[in-house]
Amino acid sequence: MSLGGDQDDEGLTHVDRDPRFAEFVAERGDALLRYGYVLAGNPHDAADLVQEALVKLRASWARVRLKDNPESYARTTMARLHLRAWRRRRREQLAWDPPERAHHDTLPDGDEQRLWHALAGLPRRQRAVIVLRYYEQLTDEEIARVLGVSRGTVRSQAARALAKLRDSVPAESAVPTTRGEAR
Amino acid sequence: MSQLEEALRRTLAGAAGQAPQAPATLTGTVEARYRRRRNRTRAMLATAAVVAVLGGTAFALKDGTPRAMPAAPPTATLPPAIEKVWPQAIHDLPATLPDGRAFRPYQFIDDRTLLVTPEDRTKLPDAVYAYDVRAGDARKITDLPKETALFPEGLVAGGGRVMWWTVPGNGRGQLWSAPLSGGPARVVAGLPMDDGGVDAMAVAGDRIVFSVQEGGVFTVPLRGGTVKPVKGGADSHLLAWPWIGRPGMASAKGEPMFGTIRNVQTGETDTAFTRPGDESIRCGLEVCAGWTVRGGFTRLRDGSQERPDPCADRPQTVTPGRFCAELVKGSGQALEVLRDRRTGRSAVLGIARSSMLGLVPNMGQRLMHYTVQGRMRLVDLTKIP
Repeated sequence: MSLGGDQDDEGLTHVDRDPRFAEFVAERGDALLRYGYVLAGNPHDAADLVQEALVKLRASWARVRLKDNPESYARTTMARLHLRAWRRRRREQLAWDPPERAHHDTLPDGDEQRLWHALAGLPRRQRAVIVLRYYEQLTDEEIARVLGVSRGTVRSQAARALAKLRDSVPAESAVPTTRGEAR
Repeated sequence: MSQLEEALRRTLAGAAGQAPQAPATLTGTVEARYRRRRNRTRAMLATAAVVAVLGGTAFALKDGTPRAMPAAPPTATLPPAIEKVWPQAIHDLPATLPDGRAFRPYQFIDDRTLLVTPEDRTKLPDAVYAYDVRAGDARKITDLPKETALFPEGLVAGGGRVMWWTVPGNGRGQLWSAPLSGGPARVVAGLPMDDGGVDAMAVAGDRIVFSVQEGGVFTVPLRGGTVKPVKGGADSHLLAWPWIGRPGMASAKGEPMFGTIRNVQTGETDTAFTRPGDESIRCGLEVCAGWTVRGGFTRLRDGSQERPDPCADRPQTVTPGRFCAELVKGSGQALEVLRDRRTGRSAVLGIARSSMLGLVPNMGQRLMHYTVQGRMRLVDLTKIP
């Protein structure tokens, strides 16, 4: 894949043009979009999150690649961006237009469709905690670090989110009355 | 894991499969935007330099010209071990309380006694203990009332008492307190609070000072009473008593976190230095860290001593304030290194990456803890000069 974009008019160094960044985007772009999609709940904000996180990653690419995990860096950046109110300002800058699809119609059964709808009703932070716990499968301690909040906040946000979700789906659809303190 | 939690896993995994695919042009788009933003920042910096010269002020650029952040290649040389660099700051203890339970330390009450709660992933802590680390003896201070304190958090001791907060729900938060000498806990304050709860709490004389996540600094007598707002602290957060500031951790408008701080006892204020193009600046009492298109930086609040942030590449560890941690690859294993952004000194913590999460110094945190070779190691950041 080509680096694309505008012509280099500043004599960028070989390191600055590291083709491994392009390889990373090509290999992991879809996975990041999947994560962005469950985080944001819609394809436009997902695309926006991914794009912005990748720009930040690009700015730090040389160091992140050598010292850390670029994907972890991108995902943490996305989670933090998700909690900020930057999206509306940048929406107009979105470089591609993801197709609108009735995603909930493609989920396999009614309960999951209802849960997906119910997730849309959660406050942003509660949704982030749920996604980091049950999609990213992080511990509460890790979630606290990613989101920059206390572990107690993670627990209380998760408990409240689960209570809301429990209320949103019918009693017969796999909804217990207590949450296992598994973490 | 409950059925609801299992259903959530299935739902999220299923929904992820419906996400759009990345376009083939994504790399080019990102690259172009990165360069545009970098060029715009350089142009803004150049303009700022001219303004500074024309205005004849000391404003802005420390050396008058925009400069590229040094590339700072990852060091291949590990710093010395923390036992050598800051021996006065570390305490090595058995990994469990005398009764065999794992524990979570919060702070030293005196030079030998730790405030702790039992740590068990499957249940909430039952009580707060004073753990005498020299005698190896743990004394129960108070039971944690389960019926209301679902998620006790922010444990702090001072003025002969221990206190914590919780948000049991319905938009109201509670502050709890118990005597350190032992005795029942009771609610000393209740007030409207969102799910974020209290973001900082400290003891100042005979009062508890605290701020809430949505903004607002308050005090209440240690033994309970009327909650009073701190004058001029309506949209502020407690940074380190007597300093309060704004905006707090939830800064959403791109303003530097704790960019403006005020000493509520003396009235002294301080506004952190910023440049055009700076992003995501997070400040503590002394040090700010942030981003530009060239990478992460750290500098003192007055703008001096700017350098690449040694921890900028790990957003999960990018915390405001003086200390941060990063992974350094030496000749062999990659090890976690504690960095002092103020002095530039560093020390190897003695653990590999996998065990790192959870110990990174957080806002206001003074005690780091981790397990090394089967023992609990504490790093008392207040003991680092």
